[in-house]
Parts: sequence; C-alpha cells; structure tokens
Amino acid sequence: MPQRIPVQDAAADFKRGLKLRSLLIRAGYIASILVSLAQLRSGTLTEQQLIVWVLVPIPFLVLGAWEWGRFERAADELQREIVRDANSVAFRWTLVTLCVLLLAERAFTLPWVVALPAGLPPLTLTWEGSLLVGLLVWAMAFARAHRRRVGG
Amino acid sequence: MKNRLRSFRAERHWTQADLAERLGVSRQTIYAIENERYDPSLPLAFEMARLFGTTIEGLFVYEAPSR
Repeated sequence: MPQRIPVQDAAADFKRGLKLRSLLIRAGYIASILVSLAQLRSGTLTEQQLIVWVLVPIPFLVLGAWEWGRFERAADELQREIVRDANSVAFRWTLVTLCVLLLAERAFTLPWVVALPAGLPPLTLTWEGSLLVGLLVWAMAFARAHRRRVGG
Repeated sequence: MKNRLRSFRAERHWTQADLAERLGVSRQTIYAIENERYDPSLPLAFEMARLFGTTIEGLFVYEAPSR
C-alpha cells in the first residue's frame, strides 16, 4: 500500500516548485505570443510593424529555453527520468496525432476524396494547431509519467 | 525492487526531507523509492548504503522476474 504524501509536504513541494521568475517568464512568453498573433492577424500593420511583432516573443522564447535548461541541470535523477519518460511518450504520440490530423485534413479538404458535410468549415491544420497538439500531448505524457513514479 | 529504506530511515528518526537533503535529491525521489515506484541509480544506491552504514544488498532486495 503506497504511503500518501502528507498535505503539508505536498503544499511545501508545490510552493517550492512555483518559482516566481519561471512563472513570470512563462506568463510573459504566452502573453507575448498571443498579443503578437493578434497583431499579426489584424491585417492593419505596416511592413516594419509586422517585423517588430514577429520579433517580440523571441526574447521570451530564448529565456524559456534557458529556464528549461536550468531546470534540467538542477533536477535530480527521478525528475530527469520523469521528463525523459514524458519526452519519449510525447514524441511518438505527437507524431501519431499529427499524422492522423494531417490525413483527416487531406481527406476533408480534397472534395473528391471525402465529401465534406454541408455547412461545415474545412478542416485545416495550422501551425498554431500543430504546436498546441504537441504541447497538449506532452502535458498529458508528463502527468502520466509523474503519476507512475510519484503517484497522486 | 523491494527495499528497507523506510525502516533504516525510521531507526534514525529522519523524515523523508531529512534523508533527501543528506543525499542531495528531492523528497519525491525518497517517497518514490520507499514506495517501490522507482529504482535508484547505482551511484545513488551506493550513497544510500554508505549513509546507513550497510551494503546495497542490505538495503535492496532483488527479486528476479518470474518466467
């Protein structure tokens, strides 16, 4: 029978895990991408403004990658194993999911292959959609790997 | 893999956090090893055995998978 983690310990672990700087970088990263995408889609920007909005999220991307590296260097062997498990599962399942979506997109966007039901918008796999699929699969793989090793 | 980590730790009245600190790992790692959800690496197993003044065989019990 696995021993349960006392609530106080779990809360302390959670608080330790929530590093303010990491959180700020992640929030800034997500916000900058969302704002940047919204601006780029507005269709009202000049060429110079387009370039600026393309460049805005890049510092956050670089900071995010640096933070990730820092986390991996500071992690102990169990944490590394959980991330390794998650990466391995997520890579395979992201490929499978994207291939299925790609095939579905091809099937529904080529009218002579499968007739699209009337009134439905065409199914299109965008860059953002692909990225979200990857992130979602990785998050699920991480949760699975963590549950397997640590429980809860 | 079965192990006697919890009883060794209890004999010394150490918490999981105490042991984790002495070994330089997270408390989750100690929790996962005690509950047999994770088998430590060989270097960590040696560190544990050294810390408790025993051998790896005294701390861990290997059971070959049944065929």
